[in-house]
Amino acid sequence: MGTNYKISEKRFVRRITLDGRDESLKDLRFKKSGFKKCIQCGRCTGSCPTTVIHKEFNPRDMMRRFMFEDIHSDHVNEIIWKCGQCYSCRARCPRNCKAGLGVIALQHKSYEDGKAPKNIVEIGEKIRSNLYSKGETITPESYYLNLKEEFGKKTAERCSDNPTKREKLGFKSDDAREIPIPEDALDEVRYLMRLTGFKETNDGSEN
Amino acid sequence: MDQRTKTESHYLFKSCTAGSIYPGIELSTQYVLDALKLNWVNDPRQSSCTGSGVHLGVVPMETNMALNARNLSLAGETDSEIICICPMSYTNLKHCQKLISKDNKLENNYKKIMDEIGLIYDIKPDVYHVSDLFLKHEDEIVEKTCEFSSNIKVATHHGCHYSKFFFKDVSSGTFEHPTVLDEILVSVGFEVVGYDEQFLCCGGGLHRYMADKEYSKNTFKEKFISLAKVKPDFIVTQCPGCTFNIDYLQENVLEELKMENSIPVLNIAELLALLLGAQPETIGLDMHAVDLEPLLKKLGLRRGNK
Repeated sequence: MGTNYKISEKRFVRRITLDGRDESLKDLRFKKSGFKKCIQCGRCTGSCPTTVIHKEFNPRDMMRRFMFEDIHSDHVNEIIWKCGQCYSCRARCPRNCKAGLGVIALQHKSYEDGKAPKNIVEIGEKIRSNLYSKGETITPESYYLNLKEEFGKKTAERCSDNPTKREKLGFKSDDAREIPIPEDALDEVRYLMRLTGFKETNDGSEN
Repeated sequence: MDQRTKTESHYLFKSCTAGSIYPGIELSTQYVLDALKLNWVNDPRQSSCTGSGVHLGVVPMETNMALNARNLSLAGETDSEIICICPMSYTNLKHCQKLISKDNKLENNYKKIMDEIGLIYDIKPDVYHVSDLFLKHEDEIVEKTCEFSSNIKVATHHGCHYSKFFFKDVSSGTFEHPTVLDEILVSVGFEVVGYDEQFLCCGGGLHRYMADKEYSKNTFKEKFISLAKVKPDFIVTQCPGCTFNIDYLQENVLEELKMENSIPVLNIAELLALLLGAQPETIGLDMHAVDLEPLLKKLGLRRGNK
């Protein structure tokens, strides 16, 4: 538990505030989650589809952890990846908080520290590489999964020829865009990526 | 830049998911915009909103803000309002706009950065989802819609990233029960049926499926059980990612639930393009996982009528 709280005494009122609690994580989204306003009513948890599936995760618990800086444990590093980012928590919060926003701040920290799960690291590499090489996150190749194994026999039969069908519609087989991003525009994208934390390698990755 | 853009007013913000899995959604959107004789910009310089990366924690917020400051400024340059194909782009653009414009330090930083890449900083363009625009033009859509069979029941699913983050900006209904799609569908002559799990997430798009299949499959299963109870002839979606989930995950879920009847899924742009006269093969309807042929037969579209 963190210790950087303030205790102030005014006459007979002793107030404990959460000042300083957002300083351990610089990501803007952590503060914007509004955890200091959270009253632990639990409407977020009552609305959260993840809570039904992954019992160990619930947004009210996450907000409590944000308040008390209980965000650095292995357990927290594990449960943050369960959030589906649907923002039902945000829509129903009576205090206008956004638990999901604080969760992605933690996810990003975990990813940067090399603590993200293997599958997230793999997807991350693909997404970042797509962004650097084409200005897109998802590309048609991202979707060329083993259709039969993932979605079933009928779906595989119906969709295995989709790469050809997309070309007939005028789209390239390896690009999400009908007209791929021009090279000079892509240079701007790469410049902005490097300026904001992507290192200068071919795929923009930090390795 | 596209030749149709000389008197631009709508900057079409394209979706990575639509372009990768359902290019027909993009083509359908273009078809509807043209059928409504709206001026729109097809700017290839646009980059991804980075949403699929940001919402998995793998793209820094700073990159998200920088690329979207650029995207917003590109739209600003064309003096257009932005219409997004994907609700995730809608939320990401609006969120970056809000974060940057409310913080002088951030705003000055991104002004400087836009200057470095030779763009005039302008992040003020209004941001909408294409369905907001379709709703605005529902009277013209009704006027141009070709005749089709009556008594067809439709269930709708609005994207979480449309209705739950900027919940006050839902253009019809509330975040609990958005009715943007419902209103359009009722106007053109469908019967819209409600269901218990209308608020529930569909299970996320392709990026969420790849990150957590358990979440995607189980959440969709709950949604599908509720949908199947009201027996719609088809489901209409607002989001390419939701379209993917509801379409591609059906076969396995049907098998698990020992159910036989799949429910066809159409994105609102695909449906409107059909109603306004597009041929199914020109908008990629044969790329869907759930066969749309039976629905097309049932619809019995009489093109050229009206």
